[in-house]
Amino acid sequence: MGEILKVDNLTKRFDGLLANDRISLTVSEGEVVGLIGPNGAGKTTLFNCIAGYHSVNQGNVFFKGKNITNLAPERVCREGIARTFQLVKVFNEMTVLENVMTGAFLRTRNRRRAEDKALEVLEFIGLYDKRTLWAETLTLPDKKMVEVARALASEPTLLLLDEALAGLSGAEVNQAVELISKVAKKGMALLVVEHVMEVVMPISDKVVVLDHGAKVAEDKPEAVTNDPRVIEAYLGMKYAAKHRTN
Amino acid sequence: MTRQWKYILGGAALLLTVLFPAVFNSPGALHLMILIYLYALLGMGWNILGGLTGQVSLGHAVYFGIGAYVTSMLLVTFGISPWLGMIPGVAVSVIISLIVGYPCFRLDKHYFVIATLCVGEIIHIIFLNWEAVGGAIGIWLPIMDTSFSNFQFHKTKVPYYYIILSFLLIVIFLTAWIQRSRLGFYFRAIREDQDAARSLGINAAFYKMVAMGISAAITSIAGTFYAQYLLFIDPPSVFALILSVQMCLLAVLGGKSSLWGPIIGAFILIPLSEYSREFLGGSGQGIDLMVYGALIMAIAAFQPRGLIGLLQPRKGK
Ligand SMILES: Nc1ncnc2c1ncn2[C@@H]1O[C@H](COP(=O)(O)OP(=O)(O)O)[C@@H](O)[C@H]1O
Ligand SMILES: [Mg+2]
Repeated sequence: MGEILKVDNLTKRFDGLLANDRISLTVSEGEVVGLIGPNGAGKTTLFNCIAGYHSVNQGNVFFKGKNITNLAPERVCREGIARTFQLVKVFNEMTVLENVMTGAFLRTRNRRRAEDKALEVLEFIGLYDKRTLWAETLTLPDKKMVEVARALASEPTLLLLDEALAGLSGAEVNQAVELISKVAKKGMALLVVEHVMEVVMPISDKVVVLDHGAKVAEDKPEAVTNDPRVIEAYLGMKYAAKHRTN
Repeated sequence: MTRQWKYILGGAALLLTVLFPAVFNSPGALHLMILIYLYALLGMGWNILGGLTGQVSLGHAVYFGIGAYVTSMLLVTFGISPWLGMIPGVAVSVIISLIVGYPCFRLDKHYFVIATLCVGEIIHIIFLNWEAVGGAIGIWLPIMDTSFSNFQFHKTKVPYYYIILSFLLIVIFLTAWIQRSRLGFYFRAIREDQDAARSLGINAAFYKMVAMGISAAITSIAGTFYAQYLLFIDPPSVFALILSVQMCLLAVLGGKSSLWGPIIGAFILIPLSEYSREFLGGSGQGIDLMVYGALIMAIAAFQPRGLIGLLQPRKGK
């Protein structure tokens, strides 16, 4: 399988803070890559750099062989990368269907075709029955699914999910995980950010671990769980959390 | 409301507006209706940018004034019919709107409001001091024979009534079409969340300029009509800040994300301000503003979606 996304030595600084420190990673066609790391590790920042929301200080991003470093977000999307946001950004004053149609309009000007495409995606994602509801009236898990549906409707080849599962209950997580596998089966590549390790392990072909802005591991899920640097990154965090509560 | 009822109501409303002059042909009644349609047109023009696309401008009087001045100057100096002059009027307004929009859209929403307000005031002052276009004295349009091509009708106001009604109907259809098309989806997406819109491939900077241009064009046409209707313009009557505020207020009062909002707003606000002026004499202008202020507060507190919210309750659709 060919590699479609290549992040090469990417560095992003916020004033003094090194949020992404010479990060390299690749995603191949149809591959599910988990991106994990404790809060503040730099996962969202990396997403924003790939998707064109932050300007990169150093390094490059290649997509399907094309250098897309520092391309505007809308251009990145047209290349075939769609994303969701950690803090949900649904279009509140639109119905669920209209939200998804907005994504579908990327590939067609025709309203009917956009609507058909949107309905198809809603069916696929299990939101068909809620299509006429106003997005602002939805629960948080549903809003997150609307974001996923909206992104899918733009027919990307790579989908970036930023903590799409955070805040979901046990049953909802299972549903969402199933959905991600279904999306992957369609041949779409996925880069999935989660800070809870357990969730991404079963669905990922490969896991990349960030800590304090740097990549500390990149391997098969089983291998990553036993990597001492990963354990330390997570244990370190848990110790700190314990100290705070005590 | 079912589709059928919508057509029946729409048809009835259209019939009423078309037949209105046959029943109420007093100059006063016609004048009031003409003003209502004119302001509805302004509100709808403003609404393309401010309501649909969510970019609140308090400088839209600029395009109204430019439309009025360009056609009037072309008529006074070259004898060009206002119908033709309307086209360069629109062109100049659109160009100016894009020059204003290009830097101002880069600003945060709140600064955008302030920037448009400042541009509006600067242009007002320029026209006050620009002797070649009449300066503070303004321009009297030449009185010509009554004819459609001259855009002048002296015996009755009825032709003006139908002209402004036609403009309004065209803009209603245009807006309805925009709302249903991809363009409208993109405008709303930008209003709701610009970052999310961009993540779906929407070039927000470009589409905001498109909304600005359409909005300015409509406002400019209203300006042309105003000049022909009153046959006199001066900077305060077409460039005043209060005009920009009124355009915004009409739309917000009626419901700024809806098609009919600005029209509802105009039907309420214009009679209100006309009558308060009449009842309270020369000092009426100040009272207008107090009424506007009170209305804005009431809307913000009780019906943030505007009066249309009373007719179209949320939930479901
Ligand atoms: N826009 C920003 N400006 C300044 N600092 C930022 C900004 N975004 C993120 N950061 C900082 O960068 C670091 C990484 O944040 P983030 O990428 O959100 O982490 P994660 O998504 O892994 O939890 C954090 O220390 C955060 O405070
Ligand atoms: Mg994050």
